[in-house]
Amino acid sequence: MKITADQKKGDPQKAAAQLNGSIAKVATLPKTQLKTREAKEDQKGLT
Amino acid sequence: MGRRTTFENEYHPIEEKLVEIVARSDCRGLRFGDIVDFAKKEGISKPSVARYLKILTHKHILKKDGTYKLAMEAINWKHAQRSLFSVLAMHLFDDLFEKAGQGIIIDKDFVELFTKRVGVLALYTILEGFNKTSENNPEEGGKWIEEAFGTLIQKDGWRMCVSRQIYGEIVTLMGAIKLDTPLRPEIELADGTLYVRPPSAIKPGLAGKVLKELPPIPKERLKLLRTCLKNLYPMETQVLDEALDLISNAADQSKGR
Repeated sequence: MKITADQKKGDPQKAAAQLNGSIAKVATLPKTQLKTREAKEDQKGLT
Repeated sequence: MGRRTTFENEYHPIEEKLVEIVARSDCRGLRFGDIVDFAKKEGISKPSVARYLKILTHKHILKKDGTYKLAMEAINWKHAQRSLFSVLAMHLFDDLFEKAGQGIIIDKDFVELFTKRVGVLALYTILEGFNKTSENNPEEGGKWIEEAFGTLIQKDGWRMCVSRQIYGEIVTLMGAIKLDTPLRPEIELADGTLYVRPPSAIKPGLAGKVLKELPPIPKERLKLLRTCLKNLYPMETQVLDEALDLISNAADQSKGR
């Protein structure tokens, strides 16, 4: 990821947004809750 | 990027050292007494540990829930940078993750790309460790080699990629699993400082819980993937097969206890 000149000068808001947007999908788990229909569907993301 | 405090500008600030000690613990965290023991080896006294743990908890960098655990890590701190690198590096596996989930990548290609990228990531990370060392920071270089590759998040991602390839699709687990939050690393901004919040959902034991809820593993698929691996890397797999055989023989000949 390229750090822009803006960030170097001090734009932490922008840096935070860029980093948050750069989290790899494979490093993210789905939201799950016990015994709900939604949870059953979300189990897919764990595999 | 972010504000650095006087403490963070020191090479070995007590706060950073204590955070590193707590960061070494698993999801159960560390008790005060254990932290004191580790800190003693670093030359930090018990009263200092108590004082700085209080400060770190007050700053919401550590949380106290019976034990001390990491709540947030300032991005200026080296271990936060290493763990964030291990997360962003997983983009190397984006296409495999997607294609394996759709069942549209043949085993040979999957095995070839997967092994190539794990190898690239390992060597890249180790070289970065040597690079830090060449910049007169061998301690940090060593940590890149020991801790920045094969992190729990990476291993969990690799498990998901391989699981999708074994089943040829995204598999629905047989039962639900309760996960802690956050489910992904999060970047937060507070008082001009960027903090990384580690994902509590990905912790030791998660893989076992997921595997327990998998539908029966198709043995023939494992065999096919192993064959692909063997065809691509005959010499390497032979070495590994022999290692397993040696262990197996030794275990058979050893008295069961």
